[in-house]
Amino acid sequence: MNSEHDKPIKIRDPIYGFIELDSQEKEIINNKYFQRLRRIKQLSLTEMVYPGACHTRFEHSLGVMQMASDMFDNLVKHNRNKEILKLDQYSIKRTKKILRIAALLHDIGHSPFSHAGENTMELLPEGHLDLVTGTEKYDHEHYSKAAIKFLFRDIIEDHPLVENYPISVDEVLLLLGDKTVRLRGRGNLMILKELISGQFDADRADYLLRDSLHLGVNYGIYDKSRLISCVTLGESETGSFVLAIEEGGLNIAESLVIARYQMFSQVYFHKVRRIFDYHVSNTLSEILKYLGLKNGIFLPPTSKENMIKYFEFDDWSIQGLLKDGKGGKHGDHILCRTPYKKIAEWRGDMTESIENEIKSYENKYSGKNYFLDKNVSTKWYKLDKDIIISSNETEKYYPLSMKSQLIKAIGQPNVTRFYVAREDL
Amino acid sequence: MKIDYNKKVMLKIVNEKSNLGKTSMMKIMFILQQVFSMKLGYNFNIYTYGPYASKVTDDLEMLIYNNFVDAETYEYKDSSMAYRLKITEQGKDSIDMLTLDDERKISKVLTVFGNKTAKELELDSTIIYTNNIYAKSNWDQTREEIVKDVYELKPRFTIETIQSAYDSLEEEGMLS
Repeated sequence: MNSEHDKPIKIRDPIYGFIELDSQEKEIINNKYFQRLRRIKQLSLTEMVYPGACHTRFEHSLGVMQMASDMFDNLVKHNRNKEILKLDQYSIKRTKKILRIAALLHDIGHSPFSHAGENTMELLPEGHLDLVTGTEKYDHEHYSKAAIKFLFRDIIEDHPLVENYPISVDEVLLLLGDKTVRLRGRGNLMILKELISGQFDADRADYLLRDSLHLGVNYGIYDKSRLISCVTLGESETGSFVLAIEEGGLNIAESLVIARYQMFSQVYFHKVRRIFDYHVSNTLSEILKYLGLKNGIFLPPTSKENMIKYFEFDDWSIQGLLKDGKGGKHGDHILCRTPYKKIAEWRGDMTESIENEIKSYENKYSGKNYFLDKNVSTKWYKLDKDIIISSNETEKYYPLSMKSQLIKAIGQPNVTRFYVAREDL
Repeated sequence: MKIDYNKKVMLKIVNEKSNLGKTSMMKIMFILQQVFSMKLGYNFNIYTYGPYASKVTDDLEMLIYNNFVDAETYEYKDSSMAYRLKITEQGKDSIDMLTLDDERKISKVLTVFGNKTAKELELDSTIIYTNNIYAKSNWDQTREEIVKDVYELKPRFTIETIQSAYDSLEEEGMLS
């Protein structure tokens, strides 16, 4: 008989009703580093615009696990998909476990204030596999992978629950796209990687619904059950297997893309929300300097010791210092809710005439406090790869944009904005 | 629209090689960056469909959306559909000179890879990607190990086909 400790638990969730966790997952969420996610808000200071936006990475992480799990269950209902993924009854259980843990821990490495804190990370060192131009920085994904390696290995590999079907940290990392992990007979996991990071992955599928709910907007709403029931495997034009949507679910694929587009254009790109990201980034750097961190940036995710120090920071610890006046002038803009004011905005792609206008603003406000927010579209929103629509019976595949005029018509919402401190206007 | 360096390179490729698919464009940009060290700044990740960087898609979609490149649909297999790319008149008018060195690199890539199918390009670029990861990670960079890994990603190819593609790439000097 199971002891009290081994019993699964159910947690109530506003999107899924209940999320069930087994004893291993329960141990992961009870870990202090996972509990830290309760103190990292999902959308940084979006609450300055949408006061309901106080939900955290903790509930989102649980939600992504549930969504990935539901998508996977539907995927392996079909024998064809099981064959492609080379899964039998035993390996289904094992693979699902790896997927659930990867989904649960995918955001564990977020800094205080989520994405807005990522400017305060160190440049990638020479030889790093993600270094391309020499100017790339570590991001929360690097910290997540490091946390899994250095701080969650025991729970993942040695928990009694997985004694009969051992799983490894490397398998979890493969699903999270870690380039340093060798495949070694685990190539089938690469298809499932798309459930964590792909066109309609569990992460996006969860945050659209969750953010909409908490913000009180209806932009990100789509039919979740229908999406889950339509997830399947299709083929790209080269015959590679890819995650796809069944032909009958074309409308749900369409509504998911539209939901994402609307959330980005109406919420994530909101002019006030964006300027608070700028203030947060500068405040965080100021506070890190005050705390003695060189150049106002976090230690890199290269050792267990660094990760433990990094995890001492969360929204609460930073906000405490912010309230004590240690956030510098940008901290004051947050405390008094006096963000820089947007005085000009350009929509569409960059042209020479826009560049000239920007230059004239920069000249006018030279020596004063201003911020140019460029390339908003490339920050979070990506038009990305088309969703493949699959008719399994006829083995016919085509990209969503080919059949949907609506999707074709959606452009990339490029916006450039010029903000100035109110006292300098 | 202001056409930056990466889009200039894309326009040049579409102009030189009509009817390339979107997948082929992705893989050619990868090879230009990885093998020919062109400073495109894309961060490629590996999937079952080979190396992929969402920024390449962004750049290409921007060219299509602004009518520099036309994406025509075509049937590649029993009613399965994909896109192929053609330069538009506006695109032709906007082609800018690249440096001689860049022109030479693009020409070389199109000579070696331009007539390959998207499927062959996907295999080639997966081999190049895997070989590079092995080299940078100081793993045992043997043909056997690399072919084994590529086979895991692309099980629809036989080991022999992958070996043969590996040998051709090595012969062409595409593997560091």
